[in-house]
Amino acid sequence: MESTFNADPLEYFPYEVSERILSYLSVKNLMRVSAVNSLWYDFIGQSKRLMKNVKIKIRNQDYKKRTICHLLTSTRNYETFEIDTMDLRSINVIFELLQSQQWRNVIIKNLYFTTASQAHMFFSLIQDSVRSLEMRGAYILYPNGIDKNHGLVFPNLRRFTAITTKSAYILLEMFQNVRHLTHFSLKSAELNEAASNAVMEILKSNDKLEVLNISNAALFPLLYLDKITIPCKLRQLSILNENNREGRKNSENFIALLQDQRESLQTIILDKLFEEDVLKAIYALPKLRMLSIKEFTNIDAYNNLMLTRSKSIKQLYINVLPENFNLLKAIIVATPNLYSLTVLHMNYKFMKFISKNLPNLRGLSIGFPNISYLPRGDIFKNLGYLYVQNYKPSLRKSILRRKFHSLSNFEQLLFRTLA
Amino acid sequence: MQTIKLQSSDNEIFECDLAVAKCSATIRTMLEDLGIDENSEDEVVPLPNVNSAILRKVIQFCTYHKDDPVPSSTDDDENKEKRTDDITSWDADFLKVDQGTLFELILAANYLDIRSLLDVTCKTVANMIKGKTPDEIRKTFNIKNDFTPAEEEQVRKENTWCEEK
Repeated sequence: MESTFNADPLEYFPYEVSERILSYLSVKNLMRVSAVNSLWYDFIGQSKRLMKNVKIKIRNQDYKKRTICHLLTSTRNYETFEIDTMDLRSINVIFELLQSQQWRNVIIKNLYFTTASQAHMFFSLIQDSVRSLEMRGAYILYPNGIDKNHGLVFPNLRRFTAITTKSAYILLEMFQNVRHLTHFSLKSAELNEAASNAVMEILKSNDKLEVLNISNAALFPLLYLDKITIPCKLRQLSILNENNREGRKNSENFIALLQDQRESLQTIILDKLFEEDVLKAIYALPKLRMLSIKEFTNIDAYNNLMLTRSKSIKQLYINVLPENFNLLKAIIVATPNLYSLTVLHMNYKFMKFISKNLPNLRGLSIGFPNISYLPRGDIFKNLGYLYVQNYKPSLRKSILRRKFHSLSNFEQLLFRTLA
Repeated sequence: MQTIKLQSSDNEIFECDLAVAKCSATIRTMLEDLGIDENSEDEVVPLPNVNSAILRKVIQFCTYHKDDPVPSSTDDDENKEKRTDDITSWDADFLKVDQGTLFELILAANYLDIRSLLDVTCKTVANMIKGKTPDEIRKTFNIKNDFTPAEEEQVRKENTWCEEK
């Protein structure tokens, strides 16, 4: 295209239009083009919309190779900062970086603090600006208590993820004054009584909490055992890898929690289901849209299961073994409006039953397939997505050759081979 | 079929389907504000920011796309995919124009508030930027570099810390 007209888009267009154009670029491209001239550098570096996707990532080995002075003097407004495996010798560098910007999102992966007061110092540098904090491995080598009067407040913190093992109790104690959380995830935390109390304090005093994920935390039995009332309206509840040793008593408390949250719960993710009463309580939730259950134990209890029909559940992920056909039947019949379904261990009988009872399914994900029962065009007329996982690579060709007639209508067909 | 008259900045009058004109949120609002309804057929909507050559293109685009589903307003949110390779062949042909026309089309789409046209034209400009070196971009848009080599090196070094979130 010959053109005599040339203009700098950033000068020619209104601000929002220029921003819209640049928003189509990847971070890599965006950073590269900010070297065009100072107008481009400043435009990109000051734009919230564009800088939102940029993350500063610092690792030990990088830090030794490169100098961070270019970051400390930068006029760009960065928001997100990730620390990946840093040791103590570099902690002062991190403190400098923390002070250089108003960090909104901070991600910590394997960071070692020497003392609790050093950790306290770290968090106090970000506590006013940070909105989202992910701790995936934060350790205190010489943990000793911190002064309770120095508890941090984090006025803007909305999302808090704590995935950490050692010395979690000190870290969690620092967060017990947080009041505005919407998302709270706790994983693999070694929790002593003080830390459990800190977590309960967080749960009891964050009435805006919408999403609660707990896994591998020694906390949950506590939540089961003491029937607690939390002031928030949970939208999502996820509980994984909990050893529910107390059996029915725990189920009763869990059911009470479900009923307490019945007006808000939309998503439930569980890895083990012990009692049919829990499943019944889940199916009675009026707003539930997504349900995922990774394992059913105590399977005999489900033999004559009758569930309330749920019109609201649109997405279902279940892992039912082939011998538990009755359980699958009860679930499918009770969930007629499914839009998307994942069933691991699919077999011919399952597939036939599903295609007969859920003709309107849009998305289907199956595991361990045998080509003889893969869907053909005449069933699942509305299927747009098929995801086949854990199949033998040697089957791939015959699966594709099978040519279900509506294959061309598939918006997405994914295969993941058996690892 | 009900029609409406649009007047360009150089005073040319275009008569087009009401449904086509209503692709523009700006025109929709004007019609409501001016109280132009089905009965006022002689009313002319003045568009002082769009010349006749561009208005002709805009009407051509809207005529082709008038039956497209209206994208929901939530599409504009932060998680929107950054795809630019999904321009249809009709749109790509339509946008085989010189840079000046493309830029004027963007201004018109922005002024007339036609989301689909603004999206596809902005994507086209993004594609002119994508994958190019700063120097190639300066050539494409005739931009002067005010960085010293040392400053440019500083930006390059700073960028090595930046990643996709």
